[in-house]
Amino acid sequence: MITISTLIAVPAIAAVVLLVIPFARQAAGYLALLVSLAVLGGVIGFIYRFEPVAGYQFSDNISWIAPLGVRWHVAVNGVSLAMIAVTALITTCALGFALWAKRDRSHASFALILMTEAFLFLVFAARDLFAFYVGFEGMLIPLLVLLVVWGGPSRKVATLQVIAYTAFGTLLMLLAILYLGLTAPGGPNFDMEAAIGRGNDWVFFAFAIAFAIKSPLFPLHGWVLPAYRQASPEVAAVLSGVASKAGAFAFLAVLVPLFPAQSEQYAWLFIALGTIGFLWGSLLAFRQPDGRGVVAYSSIAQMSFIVLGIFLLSDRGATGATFQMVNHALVSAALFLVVGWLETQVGSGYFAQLGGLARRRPVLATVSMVLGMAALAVPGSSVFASEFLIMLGAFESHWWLGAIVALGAVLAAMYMLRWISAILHDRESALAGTLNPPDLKQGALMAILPLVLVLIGLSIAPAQFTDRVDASAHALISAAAKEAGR
Amino acid sequence: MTELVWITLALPLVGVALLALFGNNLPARGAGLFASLIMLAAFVTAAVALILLANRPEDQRQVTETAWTWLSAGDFRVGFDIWFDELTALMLVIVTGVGFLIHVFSIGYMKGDLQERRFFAYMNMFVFSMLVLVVSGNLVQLLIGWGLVGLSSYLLIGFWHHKTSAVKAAKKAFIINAIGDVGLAVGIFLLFVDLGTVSYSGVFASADTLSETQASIACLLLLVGALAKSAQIPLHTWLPDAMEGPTPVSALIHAATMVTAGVYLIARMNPLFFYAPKVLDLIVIIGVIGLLMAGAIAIVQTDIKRIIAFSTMSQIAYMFVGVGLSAYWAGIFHLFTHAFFKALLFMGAGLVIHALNGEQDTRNMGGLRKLMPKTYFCFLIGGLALTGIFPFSGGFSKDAILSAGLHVDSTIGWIAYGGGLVGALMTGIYTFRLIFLVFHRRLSPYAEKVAPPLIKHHGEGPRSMLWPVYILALGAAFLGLLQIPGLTHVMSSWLEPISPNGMIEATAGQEWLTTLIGSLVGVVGIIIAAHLYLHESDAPDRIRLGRGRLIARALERRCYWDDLYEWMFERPTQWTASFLNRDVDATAFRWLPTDGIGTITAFFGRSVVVLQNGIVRSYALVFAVGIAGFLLYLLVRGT
Repeated sequence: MITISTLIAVPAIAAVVLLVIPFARQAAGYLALLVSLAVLGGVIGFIYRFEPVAGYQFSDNISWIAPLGVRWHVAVNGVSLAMIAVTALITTCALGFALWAKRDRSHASFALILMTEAFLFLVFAARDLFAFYVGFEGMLIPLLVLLVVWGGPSRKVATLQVIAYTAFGTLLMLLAILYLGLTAPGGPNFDMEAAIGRGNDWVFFAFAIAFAIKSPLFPLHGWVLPAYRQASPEVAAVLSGVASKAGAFAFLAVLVPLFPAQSEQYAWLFIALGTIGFLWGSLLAFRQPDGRGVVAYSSIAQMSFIVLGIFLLSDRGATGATFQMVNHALVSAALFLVVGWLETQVGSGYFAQLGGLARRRPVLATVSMVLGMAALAVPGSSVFASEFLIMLGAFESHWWLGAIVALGAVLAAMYMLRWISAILHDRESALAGTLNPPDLKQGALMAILPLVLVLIGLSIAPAQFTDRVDASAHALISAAAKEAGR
Repeated sequence: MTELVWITLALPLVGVALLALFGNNLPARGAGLFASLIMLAAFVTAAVALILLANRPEDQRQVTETAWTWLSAGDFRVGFDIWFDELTALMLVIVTGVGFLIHVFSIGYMKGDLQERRFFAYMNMFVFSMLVLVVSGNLVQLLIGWGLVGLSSYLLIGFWHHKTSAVKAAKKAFIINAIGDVGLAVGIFLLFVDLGTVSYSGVFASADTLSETQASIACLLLLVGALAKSAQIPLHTWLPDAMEGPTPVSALIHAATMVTAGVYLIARMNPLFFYAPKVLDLIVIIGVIGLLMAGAIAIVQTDIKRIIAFSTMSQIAYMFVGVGLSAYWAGIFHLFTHAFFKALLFMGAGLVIHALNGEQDTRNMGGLRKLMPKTYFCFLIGGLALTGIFPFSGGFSKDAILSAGLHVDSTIGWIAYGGGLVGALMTGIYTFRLIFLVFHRRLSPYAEKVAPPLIKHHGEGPRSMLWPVYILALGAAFLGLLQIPGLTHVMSSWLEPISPNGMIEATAGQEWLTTLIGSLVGVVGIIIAAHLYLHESDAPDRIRLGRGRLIARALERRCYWDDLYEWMFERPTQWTASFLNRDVDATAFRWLPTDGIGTITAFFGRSVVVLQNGIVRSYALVFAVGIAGFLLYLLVRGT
């Protein structure tokens, strides 16, 4: 039987193998793809074996660094399994896209993507704070290398900006983890269970800032635009799709259960920042000159919205936020791959150089339209389902809050329609006209299509998802909700 | 019986899927034929379902069924349902029946367009969306249908997406409809918080526990959705621009789907609106203002499709008046007859546009009566039905609404009655102005050049375009006979059970009186139109440029709504977004925490050069040193 530890180990080992042995591009690519598919298969196995209950399952708990009380404790509940599943899927698609795009020094790029996957799995599955820290901090290293080596022309500045933000955040978190682990009664103990309710306000905010940067939550989103613009498309897909979810996930699965009192006490702050960020990102997305800029700011908006949903500390909020994390991961990853494909074909992702591409390109038009409509949460889509739950939760807490965030949905329609039209409609730009790019097909299509199909599947019966995570999501916020007397 | 409803719902979706996946293997004509056959099958199943429902005893005519749970979180559960009763059955038949005729018409109209398959896939999707909306048994699924209708209209209005104007119009329609969706969604939130349910049966059963304020706020929010979808003041500005789509799309939006949804919503939710009488009054007032304004604007338009578009807005406003007066059956009856005569008028306009090689400006038409006698005859029937002249269908249904105002005998009732009659006068003027401008007078130079060779070659249109027009003309002429005051009661007795709190129905005497006055007013309108427009004269221009110039100017600018919104919402949003993007976000959040700090520290003599050389390596180093230091610390402390 596969364990969660195996799931983490396989991509990590494969990454090391790929780094050490200089495979040819094709061989390295297919090997990496095969590994990620195997991992995906393993994750699907877990989904089948998963019981939709509140607690953690499939636990591995062995002594890791015995004298320090650090344990290798990994386990999943509905929320973390959902994140692991979406990570496995997006990693596979990103690898597929990287293979299609023929990166130079490709075996290293494939290895780093797999390594990111392993660290992300650790973030989502860790039940020990130290292990969590290793995953949270560790995933940045392959991502930063991917950004600085395979990124766009201003990649160095972008990388510096990411480091400036995240190093600050994770340093704070490290101190907080040290404090919690070392002050545990009965010797050092980093297990999350042991840390529940022991933190004070300072520790709470040290965690919160680290998670807010990673998510990103307004106003700590400054690193996002340069990073998402400069990263290669598959890395941008991983960054916005799942790496950012590490932050939001940590709010829901680490911060709120470990600090129920503070989470309740300061919930208003995160709700306020989430609301502002949602509107801020949506407004700014409306003014970006390029496809990536729009997706970047819409990601800021959506992640702020997810944090808002988490800090509603209600059933609707938590389940909706979990679902929205998955939906946004799929949508933003696919959007980045589409924009990235356009850049390879037209040489630019700037709207001024695009347009009119729907003609004679039915596949591109259909894929872009479906994704655009999902991103703006057209009623009936899975994104609509998750946004509906969060907005309903917001309305249940304060009617005016529900009304404000519901209006944000109109802004989403505005920027996504602009995105769709700028790429597909009106007349062709001179550049696109001369280059006459082909339709989306074969390799690139195969990398994008699975994301689209999963979105469509989730839209047909979102309850299949929410029924499985509802109990877990509720358990995560229940202590904090009790503090609030709900 | 419910199986038939599910099949009706599934058929157009199957059509969309097959056209999207395998459409390219079909010959171009095949797509239209296939989509039309799908619609015919859906119509047949819907009609059989209606007959089966009618054969049931009256207290068993409300059937609900859930296919699967769509969404759940805690005690919030939404199913994918059907709710099949008299109203649903009638709507299904209208949507699929008129939809079928429009599909057939489109085969001829879209012939030669390079994107026929995409067109018919969208058309099937439009019908599917509308069906999701009308069969729903809960508010969330209604909202889903509501949103999908908006999406379909976006796709079809912007069908010719190389035209900038079409893309703009499509976006405008989508965004205004999104505002309506938000209103509807917040209304659903409120009902869930107050009542703990979003299913119709749950809401209807517990509506009496709401206070009047609660019920009124909920109904106001639902009304926001209805106003956007049905293009009523103040969310109507998308409808005239929606004429950018191909003509059959206009027919579909105006007759069978979309704009009728708002009327349907209010009629459907009548057990809730019953507890919000002030909102019902508001609906009547919005309706009266809307029907007068749209009727007046229609008089000055020159584009053949825009004239009909404003007439739709005006006629839907009549339906709002009807449901606002609690004469739900009358509102739906008008919806029913309107579907026929409005589809007829749009298709007639389509035939004219077809014969003039795409020309839509009435100033380039004229005199087509002799060249297109069949079209003229059918168009005339549509015009008479629209004007509400006895015994054409529109007369019966409109007079049913107006006489309800008479029957209510309150201030609101009299406003409805008076406003409705003035509206009828305007209807006569703009309808027959249109008919005279297009079919009478002399041939314009453009029409003289273009039309005769085209018509000589093709006739007035292919059979696929003419036959739907004939069938609709029959309906427009005779459907009113279903409800002859004092004689037949098909509509009012069929729809009576949908309103548990009773409906307003005028006495036969009141109805006949209204029919008399209404028809007279309509004839006066026709006479005025004939006086001004039957022959070329400078009389209209004298009014337009003379004493009436201020009014004429306001009407030509569509009463300045678009300008108002541009300055109130569009531009401020753009300015704010640009300002935040360029000045605030870039400085405060991107420059300051990174380069900004660098610049500031550099100012104090320090440097960040170290970090910029091999940044990742140094970062990994910092990370590794951090971990190592931490482990060391633990080791020391642990011993």
